[in-house]
Amino acid sequence: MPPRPKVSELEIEEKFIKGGSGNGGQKINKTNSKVQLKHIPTGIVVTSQATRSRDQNRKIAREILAMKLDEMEKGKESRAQLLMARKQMVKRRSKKKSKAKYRKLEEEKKTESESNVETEQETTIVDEDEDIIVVK
Amino acid sequence: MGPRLLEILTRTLPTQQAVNELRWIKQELPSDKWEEAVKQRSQQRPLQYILGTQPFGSLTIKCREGVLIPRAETEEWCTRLASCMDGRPHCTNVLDYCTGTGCIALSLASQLSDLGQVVGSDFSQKAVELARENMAFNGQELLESRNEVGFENCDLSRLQVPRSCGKFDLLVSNPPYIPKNDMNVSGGVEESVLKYEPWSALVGDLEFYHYLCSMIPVIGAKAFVFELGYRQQGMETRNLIPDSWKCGLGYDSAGHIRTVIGWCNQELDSLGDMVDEMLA
Repeated sequence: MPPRPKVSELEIEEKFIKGGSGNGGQKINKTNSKVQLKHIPTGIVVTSQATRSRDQNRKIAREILAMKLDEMEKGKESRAQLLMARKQMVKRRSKKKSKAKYRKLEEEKKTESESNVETEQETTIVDEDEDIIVVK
Repeated sequence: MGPRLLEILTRTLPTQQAVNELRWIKQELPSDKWEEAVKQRSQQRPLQYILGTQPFGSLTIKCREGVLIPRAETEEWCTRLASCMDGRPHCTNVLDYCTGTGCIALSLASQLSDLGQVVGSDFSQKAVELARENMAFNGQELLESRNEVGFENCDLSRLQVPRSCGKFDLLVSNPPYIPKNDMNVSGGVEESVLKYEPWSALVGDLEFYHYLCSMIPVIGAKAFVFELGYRQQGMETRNLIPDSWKCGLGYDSAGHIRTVIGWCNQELDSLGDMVDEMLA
């Protein structure tokens, strides 16, 4: 899997979108800390208000932007597309497996076998590299 | 049950905010608390008092009734101040007056190493207790910077100096700065703030800048950053400090005047990065 893409800080313009109106400061108690990033060379704009933390939202917005740019540049070879392709493959495989298991169970029933105790393990999908990206 | 809770929240909050806040309530509280949390929030109780915390830079600050909730604007200038001071000939010992939750003192102490003593003081015993809790709560973040952090009960109006340390190079403060006449919705103060946050941390005007400027020679400060809400509070500060000091105003990211900054010698000129408008 290709590494997580990164964006250069020199190519982005960052804005903190203020919630609420007026003078702010002590007068207003905001709960959101939305961060907006604009990629200067391409004009792409992304935002994040996934968490209450501006620190975290800044990081998340950078990840989203980097993913988007990577996808634009590399298409099918980008990390996002490769991850999606892999996820789909895992899904297909597990479907096949569970179908096979179902068939096997049916056959076992037919042969009146008592040993139909199977572990769940077979159908558990272990996707150790799953990326969780919250896009709002 | 999701749509109904969201519907209750949207009665008092804009839709997107309601969606966000419900998500955070569900992420941070056990499901048997959601109903009550939504009910309280729809009655304007601050989300931070309901969830018990507010993120501040890389710290998580505990919040409780009776102590002002840290604001994003404060977080902003603290981060800016830390980056101005980082790696430059820096200040030894920092005093944060009207510390409240302790957010400013803790944030500076976590971002800058070898500051010496960082002391937060407040006239409210409740605030001092909460600030101490926050120090323990963020212990991991504070570990590497090798500062000595502490909180004390002191009264600014009586110019009380912390007992643990007498001399401080830097004085920072977020004093109460909303004039009594503006302490209403038409004065720009949110209803939730009026109803739930401590007025003693909010209502004040020029007198606090007088106290703070009087503290400067008492503790031997060479630089200061005070949060403010009105230009006049900055002008008053400029007039109260010696003419030889450099002094200017800083704006927040929404373009509002938010800080007054001053320093007395060239070594501290990097503080000029905090200034958006110099005051003559």
